[in-house]
Amino acid sequence: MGYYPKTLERLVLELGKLPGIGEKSAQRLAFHIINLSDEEISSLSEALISAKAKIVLCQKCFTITDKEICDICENPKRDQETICVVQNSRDIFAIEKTREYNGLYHVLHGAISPLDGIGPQDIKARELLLRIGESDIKEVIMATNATVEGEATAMYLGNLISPLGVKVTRLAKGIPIGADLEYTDEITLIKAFEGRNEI
Amino acid sequence: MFIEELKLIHYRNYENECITPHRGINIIMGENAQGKTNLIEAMFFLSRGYSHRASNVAELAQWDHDDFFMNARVVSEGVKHTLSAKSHQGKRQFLLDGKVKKRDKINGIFNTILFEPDDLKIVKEGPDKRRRFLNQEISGFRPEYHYILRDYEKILNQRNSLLKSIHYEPSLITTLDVWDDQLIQTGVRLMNHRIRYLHRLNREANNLHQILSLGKETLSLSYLNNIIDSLEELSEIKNLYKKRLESSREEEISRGSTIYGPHVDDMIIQINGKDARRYGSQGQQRSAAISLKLSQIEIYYDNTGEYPVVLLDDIFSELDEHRRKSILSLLNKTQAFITCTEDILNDGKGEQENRHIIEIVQGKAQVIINK
Ligand SMILES: Nc1ncnc2c1ncn2[C@@H]1O[C@H](COP(=O)(O)OP(=O)(O)OP(=O)(O)O)[C@@H](O)[C@H]1O
Ligand SMILES: [Mg+2]
Ligand SMILES: [Zn+2]
Repeated sequence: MGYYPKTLERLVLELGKLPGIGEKSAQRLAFHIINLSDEEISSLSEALISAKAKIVLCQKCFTITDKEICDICENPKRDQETICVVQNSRDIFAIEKTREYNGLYHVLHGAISPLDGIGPQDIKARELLLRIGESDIKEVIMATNATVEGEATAMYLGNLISPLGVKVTRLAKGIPIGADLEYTDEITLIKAFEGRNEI
Repeated sequence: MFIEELKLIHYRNYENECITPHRGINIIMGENAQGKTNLIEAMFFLSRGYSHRASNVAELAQWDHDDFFMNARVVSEGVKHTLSAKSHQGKRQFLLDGKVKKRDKINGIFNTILFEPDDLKIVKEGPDKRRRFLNQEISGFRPEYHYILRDYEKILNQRNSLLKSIHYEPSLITTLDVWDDQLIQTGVRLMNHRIRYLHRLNREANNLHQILSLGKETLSLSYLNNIIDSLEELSEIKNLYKKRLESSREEEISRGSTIYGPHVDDMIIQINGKDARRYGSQGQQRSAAISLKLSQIEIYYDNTGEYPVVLLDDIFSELDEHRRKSILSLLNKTQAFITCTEDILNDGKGEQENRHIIEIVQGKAQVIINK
């Protein structure tokens, strides 16, 4: 790439590290960026820095938020007795879009996967158990991905939660085998909620 | 089900060729290295989404080209479809009626069964060859099998990895149960599919083998796995599986791998009660392999309501007159492609009503007899 000025080269390299951005797109973005006005540039860089600085994990459910407690956890109209357990914050957006669910969430930030060296200690599993112990939860819905890792995680947590006298259900039909939750369309997700099974 | 037209562009040694096969038997004739197997491979690729001999799709593109394109007009359940495959820089893409589809969405539009000399390994070689045969054939007409198998393999890999980790982090043993449960769930589904299939295959393959051996030999198959010893135990299979895993836990942890499950399954092939792998003659082994493969014709029909297209590569020259005739009569309901280096079917008795000869010379096809 030696024919670019060093500073531009660095920008292309940084952009190229982002997911879904190949070398060509990185170059296109870099050229776009250096042609922006000073105002636009400071607005963009300010947005990057403040997003990183202000986005934290909700202290209750561990989804990403810019407050201590996220909007969903804070909303008294939501059903405080049901927790839906998901792997990622993005899964919450997918479920919220269906408008079918009115309870709380818990984000694990991953799933058990021995091949990747991820065990129960490496996801927010202990935090979930503490949360159930501390509040009056009646039902926990396991909405981890329909992959073998998501299944293992749901079963593992289910085995720990059921003895606490809490109903544990798993999203049932509608999720294609091997699919990630984020990618399932809304209709199948709605069906999955309707058809959840006790485990 | 049959193929009306096949177009190949920058594919293997085909620059730009269009072939219009006959609905019955097509003889693909040509000297060595002219492109007969390449043609068979193209049809297999279109129907299954992968090549039977190249693991890298990039190999299918003509030398000095990055991409290839193939297009087939097929008739399936009386409906015409166009099925295309192309590769771009080693990535494959499938189109059905002009729309891009995931590979599993094209399953069932165009089914093929292929027999080639390598298939003798099913009878002659180790258990992995027979598991591969079962996996390929069952997923050929039962798409869900492919997913069960893929999940089973993932679970197996995860579980093996966990067994190794438990060595240096014993507390992880608390997560082994959930992998055991999944291994059992998925493993049992896999075994049920195999048992059901083998049950059907046993009947069909014996029929064919009887015909090929002029009624002198019986072929029988049995399913070998390390969970149950007899089909009577099938209703108890989950419990038995669980017990096996429980009693072998220590050993599995010390080995760092899973001992029990369908990943070590085998099928025993017997001719007149004797293991064909050990005691069969070359000819007996060949007949057994043909019987196993061609059984798919009827099995596919039972499962899908349509006969698959039959691809026979390079096997006719090795067969005697009786077996050739028997095989041809099995193909009377299907479209078939048979490769050979000479017109071996021309026995001078003019018995070629349903035959169409396509000659291949250096990647060019020419119809020489059109009936
Ligand atoms: N990607 C490719 N591009 C161009 N030519 C290729 C490519 N791959 C293979 N070939 C050529 O195709 C030729 C024909 O191969 P094929 O296996 O179809 O022969 P065949 O007619 O089946 O011969 P045989 O009777 O020996 O089995 C080979 O000689 C090979 O050089
Ligand atoms: Mg060949
Ligand atoms: Zn929250």
